Amino acid sequence: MASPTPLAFSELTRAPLDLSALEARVARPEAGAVVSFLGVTRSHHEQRSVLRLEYSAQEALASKAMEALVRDAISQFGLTGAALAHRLGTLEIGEASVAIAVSAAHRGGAFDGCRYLIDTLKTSIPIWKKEYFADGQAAIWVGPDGKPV
Amino acid sequence: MFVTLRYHAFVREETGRDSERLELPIGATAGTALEAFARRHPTLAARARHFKFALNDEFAPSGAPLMEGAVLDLLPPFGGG
Repeated sequence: MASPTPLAFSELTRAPLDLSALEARVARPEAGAVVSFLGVTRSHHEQRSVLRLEYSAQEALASKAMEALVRDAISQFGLTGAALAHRLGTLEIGEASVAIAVSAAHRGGAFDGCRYLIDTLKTSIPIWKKEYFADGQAAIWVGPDGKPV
Repeated sequence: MFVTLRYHAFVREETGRDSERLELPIGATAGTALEAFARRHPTLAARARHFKFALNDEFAPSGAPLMEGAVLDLLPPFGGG
């Protein structure tokens, strides 16, 4: 019996992220494991208090690249499903900027696939982050390693 | 030939523009366009060395040849996730 096609989903959105919706998308009868991740805006950047973040993107390319990344993770880790959502616009502290859910027959592939998606997204998707500080000093653009660019 | 450079993040802020039309010689590449950009915006020249490229909404290497009407995004280091 042929395996059903894995569920591949990705989106850029300006609305608050819904991790449970992504988990529902990747759920499968044959998946014994669902692993999920939320990237949440933190209150501090190297001891400076952060007020809010702004995310922007080259949206056409980021959408395509996210689609390709999801398919790549499914293929590399034998996933039964992978769903990736990234938010754009202004985020307050504590809001999620990225949500990922993956499913697999067993937990090894699911954990590894989820890790791969967040690690690879940071260096391969044309999305930019700007941090604004409570001390009123200049906002900074932050790169994949968390350092100013 | 004319190409359109598109700007993002701090490049957009510091040039004050979303995009800019440049006249380049036939045979120009993404790298050639970046050099022209750096001459036109010298305060961004050092950071420009770390930019990646998208040509007509696909990732492209610096050697990618440009054609009339091409749209080239200069992509500063990413900060998603």
